[in-house]
Amino acid sequence: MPIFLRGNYIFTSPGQKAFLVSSNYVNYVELGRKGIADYYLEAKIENDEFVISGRLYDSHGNFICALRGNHLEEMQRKCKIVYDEQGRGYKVIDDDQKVLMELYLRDENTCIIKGEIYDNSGKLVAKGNGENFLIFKGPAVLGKKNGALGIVIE
Amino acid sequence: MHETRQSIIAKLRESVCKVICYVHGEQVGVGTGFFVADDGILLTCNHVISYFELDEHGNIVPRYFPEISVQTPRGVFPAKIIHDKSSTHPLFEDYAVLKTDIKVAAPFHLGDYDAVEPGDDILILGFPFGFKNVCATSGMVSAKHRSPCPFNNLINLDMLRIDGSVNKGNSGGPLIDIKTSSVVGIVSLRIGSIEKEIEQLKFRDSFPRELLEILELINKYLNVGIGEAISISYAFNELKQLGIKQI
Repeated sequence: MPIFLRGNYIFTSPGQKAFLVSSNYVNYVELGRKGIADYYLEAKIENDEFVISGRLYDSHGNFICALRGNHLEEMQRKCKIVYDEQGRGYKVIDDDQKVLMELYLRDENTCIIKGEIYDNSGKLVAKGNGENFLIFKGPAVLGKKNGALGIVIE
Repeated sequence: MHETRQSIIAKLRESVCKVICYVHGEQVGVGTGFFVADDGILLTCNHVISYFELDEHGNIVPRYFPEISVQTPRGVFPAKIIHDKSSTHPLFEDYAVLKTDIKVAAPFHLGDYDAVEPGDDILILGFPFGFKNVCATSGMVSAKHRSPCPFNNLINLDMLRIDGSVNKGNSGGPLIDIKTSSVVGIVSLRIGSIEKEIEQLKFRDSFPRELLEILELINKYLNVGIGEAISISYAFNELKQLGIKQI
């Protein structure tokens, strides 16, 4: 029977900066394993700023772009960046207008990750729709502080 | 003992150029650029040479103007973009690297943003209002701060707030640290400017065009005497990746 975690604060508190993941507020999100798996997504808070890095793939396992410190790099021709009218963030869409990744600030303290995260074989790893960010496949880590990990999904 | 304003202006005024953008031969934008290598490589602001438009799916996407030229005392020359267009660094950090076929005698030296402190004297060279001749304005660093990029609040930038006069057309110009005669920032924003708001209104079909023109006119001459420059370190990193030396 699946277990749903809702409305928790993991290594963060109300009023502090956090990522909203499956209705939980966390200070750190890691999908995949940086340096081990080819795909990964790491979202952390550094010097009171949101910092997101990773390597993004589409549903066919094709490499789309790299994310380094919130910047998109190595963007392939089949995707483009779309701006938010209010300057709150941006999204990456593919040729079929599918949102591969959307990053935006809901408010000063909350960063939302939306989109569909695939691994390098095209398997769906996680899916975010703005309200929820669902993780389908480990490894993943939610929350990290001083070397201590919050929730670990193997 | 550092150089005087007069000697800096005399030495570098010919290394500043007007950046002009065209669409179908019609001039659509003017800013400032400055040469950083003797083989015609120059820096300017990304927002001088780019714009936002709605694509066929209603998405706001960035585009570069198809024709860019630079105007120097020796004439007008075509310029091409050589920075990495597959990266969001130039867009969000508001810099652009252009190449022309101009030999430059005295390119600008890029300085150290970290070495600048509030109270330091600065000099700005540029083409406010698209004036024909290069204009120098001076002031001081009012503050150093880290603020969100106007187009993407997730990105924070190292910036210098300056009390020197910055007007439309100064964008992309060099902010010169007088004590080292080197560039420590690229002039990017006017405080009090309503440019971003006007750009947003342009995407609303129901907003009256006549009112938009009036707002643009007001914005052109709106000046509260404070400007912002983005740290030169972002453009410096790009030049390093492109293998451009001298700096």
